[in-house]
Amino acid sequence: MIDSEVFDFVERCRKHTATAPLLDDLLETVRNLGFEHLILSGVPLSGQKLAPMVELNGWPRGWFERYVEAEHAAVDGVCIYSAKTLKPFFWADVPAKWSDTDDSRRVAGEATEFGICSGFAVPMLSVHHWQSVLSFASSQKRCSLSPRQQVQLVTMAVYAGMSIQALSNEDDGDEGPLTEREREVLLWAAAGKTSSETSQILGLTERTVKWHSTRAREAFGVATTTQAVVEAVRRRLIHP
Amino acid sequence: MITAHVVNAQNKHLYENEFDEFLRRRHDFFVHQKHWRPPSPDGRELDQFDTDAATYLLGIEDGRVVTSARLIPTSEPHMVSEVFPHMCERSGVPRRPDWAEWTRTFVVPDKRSAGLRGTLTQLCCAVMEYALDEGLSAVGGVQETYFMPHHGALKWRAEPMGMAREENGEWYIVAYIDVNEAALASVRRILRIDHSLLVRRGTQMPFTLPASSLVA
Repeated sequence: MIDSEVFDFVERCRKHTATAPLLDDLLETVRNLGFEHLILSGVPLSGQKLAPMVELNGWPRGWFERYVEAEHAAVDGVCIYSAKTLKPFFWADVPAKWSDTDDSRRVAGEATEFGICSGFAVPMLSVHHWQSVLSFASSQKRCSLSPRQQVQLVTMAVYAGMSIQALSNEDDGDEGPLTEREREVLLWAAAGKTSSETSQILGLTERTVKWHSTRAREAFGVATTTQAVVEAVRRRLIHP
Repeated sequence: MITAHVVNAQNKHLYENEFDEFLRRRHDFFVHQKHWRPPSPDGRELDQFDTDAATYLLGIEDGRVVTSARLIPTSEPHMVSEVFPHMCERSGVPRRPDWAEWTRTFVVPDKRSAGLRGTLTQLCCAVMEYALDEGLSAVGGVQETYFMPHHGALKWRAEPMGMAREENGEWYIVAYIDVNEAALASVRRILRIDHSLLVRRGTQMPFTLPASSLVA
């Protein structure tokens, strides 16, 4: 692939007004570097659901559904490592601590049935999630890129990531995922108060307090209020 | 919300404390957190580009310097021309008085919120406002690729001068952002403000005035 093709992609990237043509264009262009599939998504942290965070879904038919259904994101070494590094990486270079578990090897094995054998991932800032990652997949057993090809791929990934952010609805998430009341309820939960105690402090019924906790859990896609508190702190929405 | 004070060679004496705080925060960030620069015995970080040609925007909130930007005309020696010219293989190193290099931006740790309406976006808004006021056409320079989607989220257009590249274990790209009314309008819409964030105190000087003419 020659450099001018990369800059041509950058130019086109900024003209796309919808995600579908951007995805098609990116898939078509990175085929020249040996990648057949890709996904751009927010990185799910423990307990978060992957599906609502996906921005470009260029995975093979059937694989994405299976991945979500089986909750592979929680055990897949590539996905876990995507939350831990800011730097682009080859899937094969994910530290053994995350890639060499039985579960992660099982996910990698299943992926080969769909023609996904190796890959390269580019983590990026996301304004809505912990961070996002653009992951490119190849059917070749070992994905090899020359240093120049790596540079080309990262450049395209960055511009695709910028375009996706530009296309996302500007009011989306502007208010933050929590209402003022939900934040208050989580703050008192962080201080060790029960729903009953919080209801007395805030002058609400206990049922209302529980309802706000439920909404906060739903906002983060987590199962318990403790997880919601952790998530709210991590996103700097509350300062207990 | 921050206010962004415009500090340059002519009015720097009005900002002695704030400027010192800025240099200490730079030291915290670029030496201790990023490890881009060796420690300095006085705990202040300065480099060869802190000259009279530089204009600083100090983002102040509740009496603290919480964020910053340094702008230098690309017609003067600047980081891209002196350190990263090899990263402009597409277009060459820009050398134009109306293109400003934007460097030395940090946000203090307790203001690094997720979401798009935080301190970083406020600083971006101030930089765009200043650039428009001064008649600049583009601002940018060497940036971490990781943060580029932030420009996208502001609906800003950033022109790459070359490919992204790995240097000392981090990925960077040289890119310049178009300065125009639409770019300011979009960041203000996101922040839901329609007022200026800039504060200009003391003697003002135009950004593009060559540093050599200050001597006269």
